[in-house]
Amino acid sequence: MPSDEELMLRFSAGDAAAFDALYARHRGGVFRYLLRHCRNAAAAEELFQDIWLNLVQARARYRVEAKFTTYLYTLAHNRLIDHFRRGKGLELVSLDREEDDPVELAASAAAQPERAAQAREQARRLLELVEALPLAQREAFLLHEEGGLGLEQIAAVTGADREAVKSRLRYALAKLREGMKDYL
Amino acid sequence: MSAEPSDDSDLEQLLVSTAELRGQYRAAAREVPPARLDAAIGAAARREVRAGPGVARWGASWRVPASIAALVVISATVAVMVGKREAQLPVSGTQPAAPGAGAARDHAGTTPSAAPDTPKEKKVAPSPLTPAPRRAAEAAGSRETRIESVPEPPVVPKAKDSAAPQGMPLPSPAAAPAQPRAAQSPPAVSTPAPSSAQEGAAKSNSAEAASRQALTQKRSQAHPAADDLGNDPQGWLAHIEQLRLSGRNEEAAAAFRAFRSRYPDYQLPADFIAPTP
Repeated sequence: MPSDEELMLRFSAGDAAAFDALYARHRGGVFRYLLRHCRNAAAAEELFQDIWLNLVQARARYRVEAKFTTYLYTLAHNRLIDHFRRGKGLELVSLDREEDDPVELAASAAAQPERAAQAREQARRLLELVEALPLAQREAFLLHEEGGLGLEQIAAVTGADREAVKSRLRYALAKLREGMKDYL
Repeated sequence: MSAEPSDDSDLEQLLVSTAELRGQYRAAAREVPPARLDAAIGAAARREVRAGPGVARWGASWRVPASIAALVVISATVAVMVGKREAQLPVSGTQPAAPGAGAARDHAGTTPSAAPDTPKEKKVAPSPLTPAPRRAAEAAGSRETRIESVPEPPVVPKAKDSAAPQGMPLPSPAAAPAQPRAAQSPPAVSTPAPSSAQEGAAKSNSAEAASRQALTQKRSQAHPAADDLGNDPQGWLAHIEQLRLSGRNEEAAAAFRAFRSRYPDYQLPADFIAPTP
């Protein structure tokens, strides 16, 4: 299986199919990263499209200087920060809305209504906790979970010190675990 | 840095202990972008690929070399033009400092019959005796530039009574008024604003200047523009005579040879003295 960097280079050379493969790998992670931060689907979609179009337009300048995910999430991070600075990041999504509940339960759990309802409540609570994290901790957690980035990569994307990133990630995980202790 | 491995191991332990929690998050967070976004982004990528891989790179890279090339071409053109103009300047701008030569330079700017020691600044001011076309050029503020840069020979002044618009010089020297130049007010010959200094300079011209002016006046009814001397044999002859009278015999002879090559059959006036080097 070709690496992300190979796919991006192939796309830079004019292989549209390489882009399709690359996009399929990362579309969900980038979208959820934005959605967790924006808490608004429309805003997340707008940013999502901007980021990928920027990547498409910058393909000729792409050089393999880091992992592709670092490059991709740096684009996403910068676009998100710009979005926040323009005052568009203050919209909140009601976490009580049923249509926003993304939970899809396993077949075994869904077969039992009580457990299904409990799992849905558990997922909703977890997402609520993630979105309630301080921005820096949420950033570290989402980059780690959605982007699969390591500490150095997260530090490169956010411009923070590696130790600070590690501390943020630990705090984030500790808070989530504390908030979910009733469900675990 | 030595503490990093233990710190990272702490983090690793935390990640392991929260594996179930993180698994729950991944199970809960399953949102994906809508299909319309997928289609729009995929279409944009294909459009970009169809546009060609090197288009953006070339478009970004050609501007700098092209700008440098344009700058070099413009600089070279300006340098060549300046060089040409400077090559022409010595004829009018590097005359010897001898009084006669100085007068000749003044003549180039104003009139050939002006006093040799006429103050230079006088020739900048427009004269009522200056031909209308030249006055128009002066009005446009270009006279000083012409004086310094145009190497053509001096022009012959027009008689005072011919200051009215006059298209061409009279065809025959006989048609020119035989009025002696000295009979006119000498300062007015060169500049319109006579000053005491200029008057003094004109008075010092003595009878020689008056006779020269008389000779010149015979042959020229009006100032031909310096550029038009080649088309004005009378003006050209007057200019040659001015050169001869000012002691620039070699120039006068060269000009006369050029005149003869242009007008081999032109009948010279009886009183014209052909210059000899």
